[in-house]
Amino acid sequence: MVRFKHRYVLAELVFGNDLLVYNVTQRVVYAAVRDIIEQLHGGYGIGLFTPGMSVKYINEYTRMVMVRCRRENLKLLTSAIPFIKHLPDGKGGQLPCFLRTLHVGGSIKACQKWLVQHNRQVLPTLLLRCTSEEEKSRMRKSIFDSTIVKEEPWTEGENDT
Amino acid sequence: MARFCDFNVPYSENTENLRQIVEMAIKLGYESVALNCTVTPGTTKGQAVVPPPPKPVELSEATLAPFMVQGKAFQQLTRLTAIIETHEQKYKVNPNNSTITAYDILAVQPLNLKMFEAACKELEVDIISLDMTQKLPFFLRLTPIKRAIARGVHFEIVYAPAIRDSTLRRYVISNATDLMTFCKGKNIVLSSQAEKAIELRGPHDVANLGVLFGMNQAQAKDAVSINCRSALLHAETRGSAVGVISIERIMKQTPGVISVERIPSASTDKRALEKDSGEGQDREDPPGKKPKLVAKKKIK
Repeated sequence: MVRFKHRYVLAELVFGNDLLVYNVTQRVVYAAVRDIIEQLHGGYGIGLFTPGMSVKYINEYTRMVMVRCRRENLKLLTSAIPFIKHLPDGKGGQLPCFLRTLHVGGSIKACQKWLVQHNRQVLPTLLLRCTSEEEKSRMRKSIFDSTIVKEEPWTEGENDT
Repeated sequence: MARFCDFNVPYSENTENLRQIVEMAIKLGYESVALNCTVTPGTTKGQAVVPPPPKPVELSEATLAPFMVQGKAFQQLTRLTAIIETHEQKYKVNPNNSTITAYDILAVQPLNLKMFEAACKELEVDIISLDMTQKLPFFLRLTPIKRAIARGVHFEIVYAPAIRDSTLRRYVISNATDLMTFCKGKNIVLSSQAEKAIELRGPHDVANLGVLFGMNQAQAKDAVSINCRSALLHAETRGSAVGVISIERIMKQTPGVISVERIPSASTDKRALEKDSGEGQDREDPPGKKPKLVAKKKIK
């Protein structure tokens, strides 16, 4: 059974200022990636690349982007991503930013699992950047919730020897 | 564990900009950064007039947080790049000049074939950097490059100009692939020459750029991590007394940043040794080591 195998590249959008939320949509990232592949690999690159390509997930608050491409074209994508310099913002200007590849996975589920683990590691560093006590307590609570697994209560039947 | 390094962050008087670049490097996962001062030695007689090494950028605790969490330390090194064109300039780049030895890494940018061959065969430098953004003024040749690799000298490929401008991109790619044909991917160091924080790229992205320039995956990853450490080790043996003993005082000034103060080899006479024996920490290389040895150790 022939089917297309894909690779999902998880990348983080890095802007100059970490704390602001930028209005970036899937369409914008798609256009930017396609443009850079055309510039770098030419018409041939675009022809190979466009069929399997899509932006599967984007989160403006954590600035995560997941781009899908066919397995054969992974090299095209990973070689072109470092050259992205800016994304168009909604008003006609250019936002300087770049993409930082975090992980390449074979399925969306694999990438999501990795993302959960990555966020778990990033949370304690964010705690050091909190400014107010209320933020810090909320941060500590979310770290606690994500790392400590709740113990299941014993049921009556299992207590019998 | 791979320790990612970026050995070319141009030093400028604009400390705010420099701090942003170093903070971005930390955020992207780099563990060492070298502040690069570029200097063209004059052709007059006498010692080269070289600015003293720049002080490391001050970083706040919040920025160093990722390192503290993992128990590692961020290293800020200093590097001098001398642009050489004539023989007089070449003789100025020598270890007798104490300001030059105060830098951690010494690099050279030759402008013509004679200087390139001198740098590969004789000069005591750690990194040879070629200006990739224009057509090289000379043809690369295999013999000097092989000699340089045998001596433990590394070649540098800079990627920020490729990102900045699409015309420069063509030159960078063509010069880099040229260099790759001769080196076969060995002894290459990939570094940014980022003038702004937004021009830096994460280490895995830089390794992908290396693949674009013609290395394979493993060599490209080495170019950002192991080869840099190798160049640093080469630099350290350069500062030691005939490659056998070097004395370093390891100080922890701010948490998370280790700075090493090297005591220059001129003062390694017995009296200085006895004075410092209380505080210092010796490191002796294994005895049978020849001076000017190829320091091609791979430290992971």
